[in-house]
Amino acid sequence: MWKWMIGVFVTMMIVSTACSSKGDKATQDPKQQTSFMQPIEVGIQVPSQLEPKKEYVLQVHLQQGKAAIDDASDVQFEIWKKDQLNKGKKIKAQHEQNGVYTVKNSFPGDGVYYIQTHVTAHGMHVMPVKMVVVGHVSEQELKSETDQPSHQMNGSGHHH
Amino acid sequence: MAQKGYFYCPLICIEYEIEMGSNVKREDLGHLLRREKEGGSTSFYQVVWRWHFYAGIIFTPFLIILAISGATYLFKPQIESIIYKDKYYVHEQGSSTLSPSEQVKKVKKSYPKSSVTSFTIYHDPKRTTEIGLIQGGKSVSVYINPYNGQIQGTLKEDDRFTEIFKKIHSELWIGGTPANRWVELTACWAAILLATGLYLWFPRKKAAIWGTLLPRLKRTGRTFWRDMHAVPAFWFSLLILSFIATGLPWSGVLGEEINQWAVKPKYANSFEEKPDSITYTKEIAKNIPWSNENLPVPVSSKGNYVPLGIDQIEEIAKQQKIKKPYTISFPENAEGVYTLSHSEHPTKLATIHVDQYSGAILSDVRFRDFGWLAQWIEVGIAFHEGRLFGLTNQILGLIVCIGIVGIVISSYIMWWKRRTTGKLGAPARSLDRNKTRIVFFLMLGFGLVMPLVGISILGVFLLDYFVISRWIPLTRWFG
Repeated sequence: MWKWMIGVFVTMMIVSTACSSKGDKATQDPKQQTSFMQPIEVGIQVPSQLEPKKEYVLQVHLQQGKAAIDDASDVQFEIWKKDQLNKGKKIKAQHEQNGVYTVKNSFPGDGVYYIQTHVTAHGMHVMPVKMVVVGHVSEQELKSETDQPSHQMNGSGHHH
Repeated sequence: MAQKGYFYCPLICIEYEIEMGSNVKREDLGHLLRREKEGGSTSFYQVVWRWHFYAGIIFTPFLIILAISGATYLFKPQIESIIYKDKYYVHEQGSSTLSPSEQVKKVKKSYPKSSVTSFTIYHDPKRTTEIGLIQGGKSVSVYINPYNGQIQGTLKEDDRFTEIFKKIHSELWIGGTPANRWVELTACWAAILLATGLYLWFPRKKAAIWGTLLPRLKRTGRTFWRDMHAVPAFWFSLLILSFIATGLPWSGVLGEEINQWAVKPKYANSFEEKPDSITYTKEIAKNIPWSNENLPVPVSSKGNYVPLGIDQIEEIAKQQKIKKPYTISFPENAEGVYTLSHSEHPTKLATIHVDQYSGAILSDVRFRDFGWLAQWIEVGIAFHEGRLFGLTNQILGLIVCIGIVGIVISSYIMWWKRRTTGKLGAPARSLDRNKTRIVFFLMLGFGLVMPLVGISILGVFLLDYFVISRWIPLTRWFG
């Protein structure tokens, strides 16, 4: 009787441990998670070769999941030259079709530029930044850029 | 015919005849097998008392360690703001602050060989910014004055004064998994001590105020100390239990199980491409609420973009109305995310994963998204750490810790006064086999709820069976 009851207890312990490890697997399975938010995907498209003082059409393509976003509430392009974020400009983009929004822009001179799109759609905000090279830029300048790109664009100085 | 032996486990108090495996004869145990008319007891009281006694003997020394280290750690904010005053506080508050990126740049200049991992902004405008670094594999915090960019000092995470008490409280200073499990075991057995203690406290004959709700102060000797043990323990029981219960979510075995139950991943946002392996938030970010520790970390979008800087992430934190103090943890690699987290005020808890290129919010889980159980546990954790209702909460914790130490000390005195030389002084075992077994299985019931308790009971049973029961002097000592 006594031994039998101990046996039952040991079995219950093993079963309960097995159950909880099964539970572990369930939570680790990413397919079980339901989707609440699908991030907006942004594709910034610029011509591969850019020359100063020429007008170009800059495009951004917006989609959420597989559907193009045609009803973005605000799409703006912010463009600035390296180390000159304060002198940058913001241009409101026009919707063309199938989630493509465009602006026209010309770059004033040679150099490394940043193009950031500020997109507000479906209650979300995204703002990816693309780096482009306009005209002739020395190897050295380009290299110093790609080393630590994230800190170059933050030279906005004091705030609060 | 097989030789009949007599088997007796003194710790668990189980006796029966077995065919083989014991060379102990029933006569050898004569001293243990008192008859009822000789003053032996057959009551449940006797059985429960014996469990209460053994659990107390084994775990109260650790309970004292946990109470004292916990009481000190409760006052971490006050202690740290005194001893690290020069690092934590600026002398003079300026009119404008440097941007986060400027502050990070200054720290990088001073510590070129380190990599920046986190950025913590405090609510108090007099506090310095805390920038987390990895320096030669070790976590270091750098404190920088946000008004003038002056670095006011550094602290190695392991060298922090309050870290000593945290280490004692969570892993008895020695560290490692066994120590952590032992702390959990102590907490679980403390809960059983409360349950068995309340049973022993409950008046058996007629309800009397003295000795139950109030101590009989005029009595002397063991009765006095019994009252000094049982009466305060009754009054403290609910508070002690709530501190035990709110501490268990951190434990390695039961805590993980509670986490599985309370934190269902229903609110976790999925992301387009399913990664092969899941990274959990606690692995990549600092100051994460308990409920979000196992939140899967999404990946940043791939594409030819420049990573966003910390200034823009701070902007997002403002837009998302994350309460200060909050921590921004930096992406670990090209696929990593920025993680924003507030872990102080229970109802303001938040963890937000941000795509490092687009600034898109990939996952946003706050207190309101937690299930009701997780919400209660978060409130409980804040209570345990003394940050739910400020100084009153801390003092309440301190009183409970003092109470625990006092209850343990009075129990030792009681035991000392009852003890006869040459014996452990355990309460005599019950003469009723069935009652002994019923209580044993009730204890195993606790063991099913708290897995470590079950394992420890089985461990003691095996020790009894294979060691103690085979050695007569030892069985005599255990009583």
